[in-house]
Amino acid sequence: MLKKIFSPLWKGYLAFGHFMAPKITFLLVSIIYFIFVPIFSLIRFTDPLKMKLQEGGSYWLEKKPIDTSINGMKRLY
Amino acid sequence: MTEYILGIACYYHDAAACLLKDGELIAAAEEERFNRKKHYSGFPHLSIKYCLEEADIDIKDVQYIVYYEKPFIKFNRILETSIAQWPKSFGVFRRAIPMWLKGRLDMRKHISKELKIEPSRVYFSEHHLSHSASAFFLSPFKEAAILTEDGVGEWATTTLGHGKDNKMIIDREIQFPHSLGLLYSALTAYLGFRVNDAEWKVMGLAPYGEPKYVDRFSKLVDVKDDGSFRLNMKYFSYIHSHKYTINRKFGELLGRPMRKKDEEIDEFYTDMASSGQKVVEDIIVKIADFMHKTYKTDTLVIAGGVGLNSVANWRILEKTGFKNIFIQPAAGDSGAALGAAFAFYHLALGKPRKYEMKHALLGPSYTDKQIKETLDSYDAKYTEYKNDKELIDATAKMLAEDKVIGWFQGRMEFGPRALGNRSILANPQNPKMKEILNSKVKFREKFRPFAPSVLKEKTSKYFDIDIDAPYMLLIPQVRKEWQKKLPAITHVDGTARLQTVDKETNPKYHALLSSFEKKAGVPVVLNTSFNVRGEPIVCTPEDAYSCYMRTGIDALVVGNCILTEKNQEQVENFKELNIVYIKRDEGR
Ligand SMILES: [Fe+2]
Repeated sequence: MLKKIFSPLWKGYLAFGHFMAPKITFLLVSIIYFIFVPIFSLIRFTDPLKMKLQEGGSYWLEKKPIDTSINGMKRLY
Repeated sequence: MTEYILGIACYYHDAAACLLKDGELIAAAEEERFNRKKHYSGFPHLSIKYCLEEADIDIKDVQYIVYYEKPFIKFNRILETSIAQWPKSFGVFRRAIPMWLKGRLDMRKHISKELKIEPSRVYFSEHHLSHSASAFFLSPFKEAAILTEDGVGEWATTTLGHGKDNKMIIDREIQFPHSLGLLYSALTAYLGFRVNDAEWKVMGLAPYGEPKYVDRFSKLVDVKDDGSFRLNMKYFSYIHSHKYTINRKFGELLGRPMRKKDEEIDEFYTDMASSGQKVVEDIIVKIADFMHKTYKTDTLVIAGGVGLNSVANWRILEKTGFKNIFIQPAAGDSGAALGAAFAFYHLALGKPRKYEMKHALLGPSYTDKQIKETLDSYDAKYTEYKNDKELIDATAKMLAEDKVIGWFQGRMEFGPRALGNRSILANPQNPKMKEILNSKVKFREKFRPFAPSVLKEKTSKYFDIDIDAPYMLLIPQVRKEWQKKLPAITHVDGTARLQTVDKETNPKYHALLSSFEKKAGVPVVLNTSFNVRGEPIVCTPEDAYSCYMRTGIDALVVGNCILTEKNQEQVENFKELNIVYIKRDEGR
């Protein structure tokens, strides 16, 4: 009896959750993007993407040796 | 104990898997071939399933699973770019961050869950290390300079390095957003073609134009004498947009707005294709020149999507000191699965080299019995041949009679090119063959060239080249005296994107070319991929049958059977239902 009453309720709750999840995610991501990201963006004085063009010289960057040991390749970074 | 390494590439484009058995590459395939979704980028379940079946093992028997990039470094790039591009980057941030936090970031857990294995067996190889390894460790060379060039991996977009025996170093790089691959994609988008799909079209269109706008196009990129470069980012949008590669200023600089998809490709856009191609070629030649001086070797190996630009590859051979070249046939991201596995085998495990990639026939094959069962299930009429010679002679005869042949034999190719096992073949001597193919089968733009296959030992009689070109990645001139005699494969500038066919690596295809020579006088056939525009190359006999039924292919040669008659009622059904995908396990 209880199952009969609660089952549709539970299903409805899940459907509502599915409906709301992307909206809540969007809201949270928006808050992070518009409140926290600009703080990092503003306190940076460097040119992280190396967008500036330069006279002469070379644009080659020295590549640090890659750790290709078993432990190095175990890492996600 | 036998040592198995599974290489995996996915979640950008062209998902793929490969399997190494004691350092030998025994299987490799792209996921799109199985699930029939072109450039599929999701997890390559079906490719992995195939690789394991090929080795007759279970995933439990695989000791190491190596993913083709480092997820944390890639995430760092996305985050840094979003921060640097605030507030324009909201679109990218909003899409990327939830996706990464949901599972992409902890790729170890994700892969172990997908494969139902312990996380401790999962390893990671930097993206350009994977590309580099796919070029060097699979090449025939003991020592070489290594060039990788693509859109982007983690941060790197171009890397230079050097390999010797089972060691490799990468010591220079260009980082995102400065990218030759993305510059070429920008040109592709500007010309109204689909990015990450239609770069071939730009390369095919370029020879029809004149490089009149090199000066304008050069303003997009600042290039130093050593080939290093930075893009002038005020013309590009990809840094903060998922949807758009270029912005309005790009068109203003070049003199006209971006071409609309259905707009005519007039002289201006054709000249722009030529100019853009020339600028990219010049950069690549400068890089190669710098590498030749720096690494002091005459041997170069290349991987990364830009490595599929066969015209640029040819320029390297023409204009720099490099004498020997190997380009990974799966130069794009699918090939990075190979590199991930080989990087682990040689660099992490320290094993010596013993494998050389002599061909790209690494995919599934089907027995005569399986093929017959498929044909019988469709009540198809076919002639079964008891020996290869008769089958080959009958096929060569049809080719000489200008029939368009669907040729399905042996193991499927790995990489974007059909190399004589999943190919549509035709007579290159017929001046109308390009139009016939385009109207009957391929339905593609008139300006795109068709490629030739030639017997390796007879190459230099017909083409101005003295090295092997087994993967259609070099573009020599068709010799003057043969250009008019081979009109269907000679491009407007007298070149051809050549495949040399070796008896040792593909005896059946070699025999077909030999038989064709006896009947038609030339050991050259036109070879284009066995698919219809927009679809992946066929994988199974069913796919081949479906393609045959939906197009004007005159004959299907599948295994030891030849089909020349089509049941018209079935043809209508195939066309009406547009049966592209024949029931099979879905890729998740
Ligand atoms: Fe790549």
